[in-house]
Amino acid sequence: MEFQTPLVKVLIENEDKILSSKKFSKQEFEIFIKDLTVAENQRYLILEKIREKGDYDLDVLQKTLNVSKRELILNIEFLKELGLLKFINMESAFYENLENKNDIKGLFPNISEIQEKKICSGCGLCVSVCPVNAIKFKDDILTIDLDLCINCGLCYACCHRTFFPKELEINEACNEIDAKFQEEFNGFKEIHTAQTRDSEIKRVAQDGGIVTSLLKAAFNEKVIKNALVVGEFKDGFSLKPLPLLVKNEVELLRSSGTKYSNAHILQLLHEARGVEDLAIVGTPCTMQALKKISFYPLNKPYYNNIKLKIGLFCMESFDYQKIIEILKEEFNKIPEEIKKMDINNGHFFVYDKNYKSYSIPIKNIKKYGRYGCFLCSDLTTEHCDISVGSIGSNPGWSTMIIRTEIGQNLFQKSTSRNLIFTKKIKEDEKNFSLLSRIALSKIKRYKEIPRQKMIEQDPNIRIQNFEEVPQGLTEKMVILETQRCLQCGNPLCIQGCPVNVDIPQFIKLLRSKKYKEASMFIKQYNLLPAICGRVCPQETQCEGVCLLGNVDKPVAIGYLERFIADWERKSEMKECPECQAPKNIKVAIIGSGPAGLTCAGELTRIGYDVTVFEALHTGGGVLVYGIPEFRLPKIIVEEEIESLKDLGVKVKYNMIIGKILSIEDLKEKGYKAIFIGVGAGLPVFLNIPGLRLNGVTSANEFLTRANLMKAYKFPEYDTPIRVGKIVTVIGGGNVAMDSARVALRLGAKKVIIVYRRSEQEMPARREEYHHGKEEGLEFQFLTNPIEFLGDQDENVKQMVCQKMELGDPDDSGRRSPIPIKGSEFIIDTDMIIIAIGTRANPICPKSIPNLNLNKWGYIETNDKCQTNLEEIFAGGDIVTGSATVISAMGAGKRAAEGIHEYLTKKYKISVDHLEKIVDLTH
Amino acid sequence: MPYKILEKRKLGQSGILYEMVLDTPLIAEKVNAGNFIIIRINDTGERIPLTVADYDREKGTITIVFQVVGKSTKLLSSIDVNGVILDIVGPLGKKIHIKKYEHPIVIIGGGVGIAPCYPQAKELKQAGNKIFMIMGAKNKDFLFWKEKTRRIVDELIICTDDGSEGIKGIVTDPLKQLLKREKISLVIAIGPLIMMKYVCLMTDGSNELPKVVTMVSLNTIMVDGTGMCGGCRFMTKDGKAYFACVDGPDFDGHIINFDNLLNRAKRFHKKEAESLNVYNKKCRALEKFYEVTI
Repeated sequence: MEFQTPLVKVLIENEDKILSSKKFSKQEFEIFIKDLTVAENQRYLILEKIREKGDYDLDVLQKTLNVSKRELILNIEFLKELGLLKFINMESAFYENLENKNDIKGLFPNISEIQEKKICSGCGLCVSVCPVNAIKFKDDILTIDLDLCINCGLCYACCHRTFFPKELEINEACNEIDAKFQEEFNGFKEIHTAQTRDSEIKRVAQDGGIVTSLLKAAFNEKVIKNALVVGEFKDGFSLKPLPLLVKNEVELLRSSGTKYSNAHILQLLHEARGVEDLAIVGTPCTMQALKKISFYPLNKPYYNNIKLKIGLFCMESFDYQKIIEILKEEFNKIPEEIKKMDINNGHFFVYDKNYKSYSIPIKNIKKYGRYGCFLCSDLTTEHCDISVGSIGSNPGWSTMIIRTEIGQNLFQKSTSRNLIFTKKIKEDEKNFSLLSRIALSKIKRYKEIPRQKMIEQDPNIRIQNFEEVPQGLTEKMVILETQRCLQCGNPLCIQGCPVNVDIPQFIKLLRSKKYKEASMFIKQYNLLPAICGRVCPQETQCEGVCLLGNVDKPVAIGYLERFIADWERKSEMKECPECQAPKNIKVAIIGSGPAGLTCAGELTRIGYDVTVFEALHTGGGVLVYGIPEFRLPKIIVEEEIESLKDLGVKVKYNMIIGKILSIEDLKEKGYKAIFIGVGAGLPVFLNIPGLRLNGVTSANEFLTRANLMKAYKFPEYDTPIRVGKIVTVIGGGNVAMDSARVALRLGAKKVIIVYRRSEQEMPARREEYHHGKEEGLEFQFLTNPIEFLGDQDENVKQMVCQKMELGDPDDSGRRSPIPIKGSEFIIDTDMIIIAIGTRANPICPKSIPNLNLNKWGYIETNDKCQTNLEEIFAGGDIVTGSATVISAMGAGKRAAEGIHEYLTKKYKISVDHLEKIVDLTH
Repeated sequence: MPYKILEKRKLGQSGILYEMVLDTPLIAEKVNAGNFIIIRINDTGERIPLTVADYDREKGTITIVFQVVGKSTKLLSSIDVNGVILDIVGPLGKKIHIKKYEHPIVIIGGGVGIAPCYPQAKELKQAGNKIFMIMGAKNKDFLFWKEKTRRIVDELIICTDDGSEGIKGIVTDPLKQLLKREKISLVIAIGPLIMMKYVCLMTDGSNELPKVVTMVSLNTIMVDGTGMCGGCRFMTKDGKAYFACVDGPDFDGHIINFDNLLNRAKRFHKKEAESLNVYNKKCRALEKFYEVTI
């Protein structure tokens, strides 16, 4: 008795919808269902066997079910991705919570996420496999008509970008006796360079005209009767390619020439299902897609008629809009002016109607590449019969990689029919190593190299000390991690970084162990890398947008940054970035936090005489009073400030501007511009009964005592600190996490974090949250305190709380918590730390007459960080309210540019523009 | 850049009261009555707030007066002239409001609180006010700056708990007499919390005496002194929180919940005792060391 699997069931239920889309006749549909039922039942039988045993042994399964091992592995992979093997701890590699994506267990969701995650290769297969015609490519973007979609998940199952089992990675050629294997080429027989002898083909075709010649031979030899190729736009000339089903060589010639943009050729696979003896010409993604569906028989007629697969070398492909952009931006041309495009000798060429050529280096066009292409490791189209491309051949010739018996036969027939000249490329030839090198450079290692984990102090030990928790990566781990980077042409990480560090370039330098260069390179953007590597919320910035993060864990950019900064500290390299000639113009910086230090460094580099005024007795601002030693050792802050001093920055401590000196005093002392970066240092207290009690403290006081005053070393250091046995911390940010972990280290028996929203909304850096959990912090989410209760001596003893639920999103985009009536409960606690945020410190801003402040007391500025008083600039938390270290640094940098621009104009100093990032790789 | 101690002398006969003149030209230029400074003696030191007791803009100096109570003040007392204090920051807090009042002003200084009364008295006198000053101490050994004060006030009344000098009794006794005798515009009280509490109870209009605005100066526990830590906060009677460092240190005493302040002042008592204990042991060990080596 056959079991109706969820997939079969949903298809049968939607028969009417499917038939009305006219993709299948009734008869076709029935055959489709029948074939699918067989395949699906096979899979579910395997699932049942695994369920019976609660585990599986491939050999045993193979015997009992009488199927090949490969089939077994692929089916298990399929079940795993469906989330059906969680009971034996096999999780989907692609989706963390697949079951949340589709309501019905046992079905994949639709592939909208492929587009959202920017990983669609554009092969076009999903358009063909969708039984209701719900998927289309609009301007190269995959779109799904959700009204039509029946949520069968066939598209997801077929897509080669959702999951592509390792088992399929080795190509068919490897099964043949005379196969050779090289990692960068996969299985192959021989490599030749070739040129067509057909003058007609030579005129219209690319390079050596080999693809057209091979297809011509295949038609002539009756190997094929149809070919699915990329053709030209039907109405006149255009560079916009369209998939084309051709039946003979006359039609064939219309398809010659490379278009470089994606035709989503497999869109036509459905139309081509009935035709006899089909050849398909396509890029690596086309062939990977075909490979996947050939092993998951979800729709049999789609591959049975394919007799020949010709692959095209591909570095990356471009959306048509991007081709237009390249022509416009790089060549100042419109598509109508262009007759042909070509890549040769590391350059991208375009030819106008008179065959006049123009060229630019290939690296200049990388940034226009399709995101989906940056994930691909396949240069030579490994899964086909014969691969063709220009790399490895001289101009006017093409390289051919003959892989299968079919490919070999076609090659022989083409030569025997005198269609092509050929010459074997031997392994010791320069062209062979060139091809090998370029192919190797495209290989992405993330599948084999997991994201490197930092060595960390054991939680049980580290809660007894204040030493740093993560101990950094070893050099070996760093090199591995750098190899995971996709080196995207258009890197998202740069956009995700508030100071726009060219991260891929930095990683490239690291990868080739050019540590000194890497260190200098990063300092061009970021003067405080040792700090940022430790405290930046990378998961919401560079790493949060890393393309690799969409298919795997993102590159550990923060770890790499930390490594290079620590390397520099240990190496005593002490080489400052170059400073420009002194301008003898004085600039005052108020506050030595991240914004002030960055601004000071940048201005000093361009020749200003900079003095930093710090209110406390030591520099670093929040870096020293807020962030605990175990997260950011204070010696690092000291050293970073020392290196700024080496650069020429002067720092004066114990200087509260607005008290000891006014802005007017500074102006009198000759400071021509002033930057205010005083942060948002005032604690916000919860205005609830019981605030008066002893044991209720602000996180600011608690942390300042512990961090700035080193009270954890009391009585060696004089500042005392008091810690309860059961400490409750109110808040969900980094400050709350830091306070809680300091309390643990100071001997609290139990530390509870009380946060009014849920885990997802917590703004704390993820790593700190995980570390805190490991250390034994307890969390009470969706909980809000409403009163603190004390004993007769006015010491806090209990906290009255209320349960919350999440309502609609507020201005910050987070769902706002609403109290649940009657849900009050009591937490016993003898110390309460309030960490619910900070606000502006009015001392400096309020001391400046006429300075524009907003209603919360933050300073108003324009995008150059300039205030309404032209010589006064401001940035960081005193402008934005509490934010991150790196965003304050970004502001410091922008302010430096603004100050420079202002002073240049005002005092007519002639200097080069501030931003002059030297590309150290040249 | 450390700050030099230019002068140092013991005050009175108690042996635990000191006066120091510090070389701080920038602070001296800006300081006014009511302001305080925070000092950190050395690298391992805590930040302690001290109300400025006098200043000389021309010489570029400020004067501090302190009583040895814990480790930090003991350490401070051990530094001699030409020695240095690592960090001094100020002037902090709000200066007091100086104007000519309709009626005389009573200024009450208790214990070490006598010192910060001085600049207030001086500036208020300069503004043309008639000033009665009440100086209170445990006994005569704890009295200081009598002559200095007498020079700038209209009448100086001294009282000691044991009657060893002046009136026997506490400062509220002569205050009561004054309030009965004269119309008073303003009372200023600086000294132990308990003294300020009782002064305020006397002037709040609740005990057949006229209600008189009473300003007190708070020296609560602080770290940064710029409003950042909130350690110095206290509650008013109607439940509002104030920061002594930036909203004060001078406040209308009638709104203050002194019981809360008294409680909050005890927060670190145990630790403070521990710190002093460790320091004393170290000192004794050093003394022994010197005895042996000499």
